[in-house]
Amino acid sequence: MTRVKPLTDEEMGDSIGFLKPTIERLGFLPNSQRIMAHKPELLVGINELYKAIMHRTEESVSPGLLYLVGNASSLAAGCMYCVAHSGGAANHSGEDAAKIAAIHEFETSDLFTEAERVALRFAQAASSVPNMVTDEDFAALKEHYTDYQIVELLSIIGLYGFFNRWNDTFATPLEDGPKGFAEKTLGGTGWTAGKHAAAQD
Amino acid sequence: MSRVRMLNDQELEPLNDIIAPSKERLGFVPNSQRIMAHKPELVAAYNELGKAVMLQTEGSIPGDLKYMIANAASLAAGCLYCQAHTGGASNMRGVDGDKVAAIYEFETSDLFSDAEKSALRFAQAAAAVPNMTTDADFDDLRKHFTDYQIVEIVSVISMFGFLNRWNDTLATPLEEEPIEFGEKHLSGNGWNVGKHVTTEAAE
Repeated sequence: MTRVKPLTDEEMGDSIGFLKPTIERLGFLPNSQRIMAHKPELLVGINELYKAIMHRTEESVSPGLLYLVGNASSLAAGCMYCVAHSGGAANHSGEDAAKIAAIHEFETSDLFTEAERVALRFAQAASSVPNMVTDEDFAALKEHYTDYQIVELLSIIGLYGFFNRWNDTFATPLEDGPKGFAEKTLGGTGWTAGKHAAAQD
Repeated sequence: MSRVRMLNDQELEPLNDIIAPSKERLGFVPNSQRIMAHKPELVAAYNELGKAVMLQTEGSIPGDLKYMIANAASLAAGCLYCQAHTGGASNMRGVDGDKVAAIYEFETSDLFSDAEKSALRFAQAAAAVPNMTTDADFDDLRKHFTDYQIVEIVSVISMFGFLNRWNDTLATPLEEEPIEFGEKHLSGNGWNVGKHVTTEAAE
């Protein structure tokens, strides 16, 4: 059941012209944003934040790592909509499907580097309630990442802090693209669309 | 002590215009943003989102209720930094200190209207891990709020999804004003500055 209706293209009208790049990248406009569109300023704000977090400089960590971290974060919070989306985005950024499926066992999987493990461990601890991050976690992070990069890692964990609450609360209907990816890639790890299964029209 | 270095006033100067709306909302530059400022695009966009979430239109829920919702979400997530900030911000918008202190017992307190209770109950459920919101919570919300207002309520809860993770992870040092508010009004509920102790005080 949809808890607040995602707006259609028609209802959104010209106000989504600025989202063309997003729509081109994904092939669709996510339902999460179609719900945000009830307050257009909000839709603008979240897209600005997303762009800033993905903005790359010479010092930046890779987009693939950012999405892997977003995925670990969403797994810890339990948002299946976000797990499917971040997994698909990681794949789109060049991360192997097998690696994405192994995130739930990153500690023991040999598909991850030590630097990646440290980042994923951090994501898991930072997305737990209560927060489980320790000074030791930061000491380990600082062996592999600069302060700038740690801010980047935490910014995607924060962004998924927004999205995990947003999508798990609205039970946002999952679109065909990420649903297909997750069923194929993550089905073996116990992922299901759950309450995000879209109503059949 | 902050786990990532905070930028000082001199380093922040090029970002002054960007940070101005937050400074106006809170009365000071929050340390959370002194850390975000390592990546200037991030602190700029964060402020844009904050403005959008807090933007008051004709159809909006009351501004003070936004901060009470943020406080209830931060209580559920356990972020002491955010509890002090949102408590202080509610107070600045006219919510009595006693009422802010009563948010943790809103269900049985007579200081809250039914609409406020519905929103605070929702905030608590939406900020829990795993997420505890139900269809029944939505039915109850709809008795008091429009779809537009429900989107606003969830946007506040979600923005604090960002901030609760940010500040609890960084152990962001609390500033003087929210410490004062927390000690005066929230310590009876067990609130303390915890790991958000300022460097100066620790030295």
